[in-house]
Amino acid sequence: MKRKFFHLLFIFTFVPFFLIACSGGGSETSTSTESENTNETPVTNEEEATTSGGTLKIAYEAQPNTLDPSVTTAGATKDLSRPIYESLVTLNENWEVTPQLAESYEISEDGTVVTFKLRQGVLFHNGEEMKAEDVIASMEKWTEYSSLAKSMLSGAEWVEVDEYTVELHLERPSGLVMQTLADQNQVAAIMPKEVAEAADATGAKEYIGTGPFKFEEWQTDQYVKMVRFEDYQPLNDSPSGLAGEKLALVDEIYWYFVPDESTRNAGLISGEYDIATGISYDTVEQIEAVPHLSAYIHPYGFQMLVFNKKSGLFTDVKARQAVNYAVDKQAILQTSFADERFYNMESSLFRPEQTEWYSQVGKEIYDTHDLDLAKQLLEEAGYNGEEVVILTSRDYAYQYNAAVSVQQMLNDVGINAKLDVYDWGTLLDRRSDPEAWDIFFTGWDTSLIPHQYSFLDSEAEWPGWTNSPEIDQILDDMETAATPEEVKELNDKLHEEFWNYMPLVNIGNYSKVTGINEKVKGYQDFIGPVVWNVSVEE
Amino acid sequence: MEVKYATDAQLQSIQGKRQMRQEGLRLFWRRLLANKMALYGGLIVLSLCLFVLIAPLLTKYTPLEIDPANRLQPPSSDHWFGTDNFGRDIFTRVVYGGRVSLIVGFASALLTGFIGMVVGLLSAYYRVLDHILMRICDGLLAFPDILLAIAITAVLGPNPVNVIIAITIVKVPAMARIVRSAALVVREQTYIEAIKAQGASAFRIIWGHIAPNVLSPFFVQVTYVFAAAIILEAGLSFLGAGVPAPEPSWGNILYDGKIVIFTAWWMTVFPGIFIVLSVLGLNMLGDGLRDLLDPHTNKAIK
Amino acid sequence: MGRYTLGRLLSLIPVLLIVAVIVFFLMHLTPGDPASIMLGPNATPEEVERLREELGLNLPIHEQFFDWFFGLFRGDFGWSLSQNKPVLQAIFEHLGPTISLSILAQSISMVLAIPLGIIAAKKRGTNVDRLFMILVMLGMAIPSFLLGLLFIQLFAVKLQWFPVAGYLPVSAGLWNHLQYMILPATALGIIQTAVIARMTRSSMLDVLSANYIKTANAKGLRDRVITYKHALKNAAIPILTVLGEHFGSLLAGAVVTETVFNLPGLGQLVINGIEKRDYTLIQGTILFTALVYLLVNLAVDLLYGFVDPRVRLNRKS
Repeated sequence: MKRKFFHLLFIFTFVPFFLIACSGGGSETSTSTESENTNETPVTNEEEATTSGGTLKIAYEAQPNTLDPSVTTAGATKDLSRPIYESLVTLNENWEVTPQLAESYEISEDGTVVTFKLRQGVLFHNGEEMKAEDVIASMEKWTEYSSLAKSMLSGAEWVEVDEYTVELHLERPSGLVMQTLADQNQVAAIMPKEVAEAADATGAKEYIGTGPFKFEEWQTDQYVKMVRFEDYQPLNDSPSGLAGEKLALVDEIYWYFVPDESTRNAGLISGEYDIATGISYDTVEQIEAVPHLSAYIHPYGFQMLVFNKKSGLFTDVKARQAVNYAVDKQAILQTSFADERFYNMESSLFRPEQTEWYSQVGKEIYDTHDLDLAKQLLEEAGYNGEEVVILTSRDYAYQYNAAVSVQQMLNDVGINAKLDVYDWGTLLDRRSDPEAWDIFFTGWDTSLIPHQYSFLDSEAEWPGWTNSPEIDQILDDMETAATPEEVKELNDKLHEEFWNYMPLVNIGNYSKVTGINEKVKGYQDFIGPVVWNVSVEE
Repeated sequence: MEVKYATDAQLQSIQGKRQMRQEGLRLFWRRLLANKMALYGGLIVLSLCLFVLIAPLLTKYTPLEIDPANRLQPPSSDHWFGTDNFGRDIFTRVVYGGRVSLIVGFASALLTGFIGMVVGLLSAYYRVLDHILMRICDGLLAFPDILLAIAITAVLGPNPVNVIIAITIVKVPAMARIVRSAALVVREQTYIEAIKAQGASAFRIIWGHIAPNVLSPFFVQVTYVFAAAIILEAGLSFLGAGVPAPEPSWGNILYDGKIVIFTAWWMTVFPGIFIVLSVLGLNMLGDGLRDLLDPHTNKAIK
Repeated sequence: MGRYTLGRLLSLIPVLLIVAVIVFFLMHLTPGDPASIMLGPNATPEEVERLREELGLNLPIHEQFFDWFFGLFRGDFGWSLSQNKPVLQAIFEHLGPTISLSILAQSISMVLAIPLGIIAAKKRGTNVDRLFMILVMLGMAIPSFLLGLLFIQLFAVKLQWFPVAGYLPVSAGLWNHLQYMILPATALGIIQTAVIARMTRSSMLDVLSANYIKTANAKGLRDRVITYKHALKNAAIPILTVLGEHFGSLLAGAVVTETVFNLPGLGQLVINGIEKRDYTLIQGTILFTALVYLLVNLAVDLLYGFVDPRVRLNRKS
């Protein structure tokens, strides 16, 4: 009898696990059916979606600290604030600056004055009309908190001409001023004057914008709810990127905060969410295997291996170059992003569709994977076995995955690399200490102009401490460059210098994946989710 | 049984002591064999330990060896437990992870036992110290244990030793309380009074006379702490605050597996089985020991 | 009785002081900085420094401690940076899921455990008893987060009986609320169930073999009356103790369970707080849970008196 007890005990121990194992196996076999839904084309709607109504439920990765995009570069703030706020100018799908709240703008001949004609009859969510004073207060607030604006528009002044005209007076002419104003990392959101003036470093106290959706409710750790703004005045141009006609087709949008990847996945599959952002690369096939779901792949940014150029081995440019030759970028991208659909072997700091900025210069250095050359350079750098600390965090799986594989690759060329794994908060703290690390990984979303890349600029003091007078000079020259051709030439020089000086190794471009239920029509991602012109059909 | 042995021992010659010890051991073994719970529990724990010790001989992989081409393979003859998202062999990781998890658990149990014993005995003996130590214990007990452990590892930095320290700090108060309450009973016995009257030093009374008499609840509790430490480590690592990756531990493998739980069940199921098995084994051992060492509960459990 | 309660309440104060001091210095020793986390990885040191200044994070640590500490006496728990609201408000907003989870888990475990324990005790030595013991041993060996993961996989994804994760408050309808709570509460309650069931069984065995039960039997009282009226009442004390003792582990278990099921409870609040280094939030929440834990234990102690008159007598003497 006793023995029976223990037999039973063991059977009961294993049965639940086998149940799970079997159920897992079931879905495993069904992944062979592959629905093709490839790159960069938005999920288009066949018939023009004019029917409005319904609720759009989005499972989003992170909860922002604020919905005011003008005080922070945090991605969550940018994405969630986008339906609420608009700015003077924005970007179309070719990354070109396009008027939004401005009806038009004009740059004076000497390049020091930009005149904005504002659209009339644009209402804030509180019912008041947007006027010059609101624009000026908002722009001044943004200039105070955006470090890009501070460096690019230093000494600039906003002047009210009349109720619907404002001027931007610059200290010196700059070819990049419009791009600065259209920055998407830290959006120059226009809000009512009194709100802008009451705001502090943690953001506006009320979320009132001019966008197609208005902020309704924020349940901390649960969701942000937005509803259609009935008095929204859309532009008549056809939609393109963030510009053109924006229609609120659904009645309300819920952004659920679901930091856990598997929970987002599971909720998408079970139909609780219509859209789930940040789908894990490893579960894309599984999403695609579900008949009513599709995986939408959209380009995001590039992954980088950052060197500490202030202290330790990598103060020597030869050692940095050695690492570039030692790592197999294809393999890193593979471990980080699982499948070729999710990454591109690109050496440029910009994407091919950014025609003004994309540059192939330096590609051959990027492409070279040569262990002997790496070892030789290491020897020239006088390396003899000191410990090299790779700082990483598991809070971002792709960064962590890259760190694990790079550690192996560095070991293979004789670098004594060690992983230091911390939580994200500790990592941010440690990476500001030059003595604490040699390499860390991070991702950077593709920006509009090189000046947004703090890792290039010696003045930014961004961890890694790039200090290249040549790069600084190129950036300065670009600001004052007169013609697009001149900028292009400087940009090639920048890329060349980038790969010579090698402040970091650009591992390659990567995409993110959003899972979408088929009842959602018209969704696309352009530097973040675009939720207008999106309908839900039951 | 221990109680009796310790008191009688005072009166025995060395010869008699040895004889008694042998008899006591023999009796212990007989009762251990008769107590299936303790026996099987002990066997499970022993075989797990043996398994993680010798299994590196059974695998041709190392736990950190990555192989991106073979990511997330289901179990096969090449990879008995499949591979993870780096193409690492799960069997190897579970085995090596078992070492980490069991060592962290065991070390935490030992350290907890030692500190808990000292704190418990001291507060049982010195009344002033009792107030101070027990208030601190109350304070620590009032924290949800996993949060306290997360906070401590966050301060100390993530490495296995700090995880052991964190688990120990979390588990000591309960251990100290149990030792204290057992010791309080012994303290009131007349023979302690007698020894005190003879002028024995406090040190001798505490360590020579009280300590041996609280050993049975102590060992039982250490076994439970061992089990609880394994669960706590798994929980910590599962939340990303335990043994730092890429070093495997059972909780770590679960953390990696959580993201792919729908496609790669093997990453959750295999370390899961080992966690359950080891906790099961230790709990059985603990229950069995308690029956064995304490004649009162014997009746109730059987 | 009243004086006793008052004395016990007063004795909580030093414990809470200790908790406050430990949690404050623990958090401030932790590497990391709320400002740099708020600003994101691409922020420059200058931006971080400016925000630190604005948030008062550059004040000397003892000043920050006394600011916070004396605020507590005015009932001011401080301002949460990550939630952008007063800490107390954040706590109350996150209280619902945790209370609901704890109560449900506790109820599920009691509803399951006590009858099971009684049946096992009465049928001791039979196969029923053995099956019971197996389930108990297993229940105590499965960490709740592992069980939670398995539940999600089986009941939410495969069978689709319940939503995968998330939360609706009771105000959205009791059934809607329960739908979200059943899986996590069960996962969390299993260990509790096992512990209580075993305790019920063994204390029932103790009581059932006592002389007065034998007498009752001999008097020809009905079995059910003996079991529930005489035996269970006397077996209740150890069961109560276990309930009180394990309330703490329930709170702790809730932390991980809330993470697995994405419930916006206190556990999530603290975990997010730790991630974002939101010092005041963590301090406030921990202090709050400690207070609740201590009060529950006090309540259990006082309950003894009602359940078992002998305890009351002992205290008076």
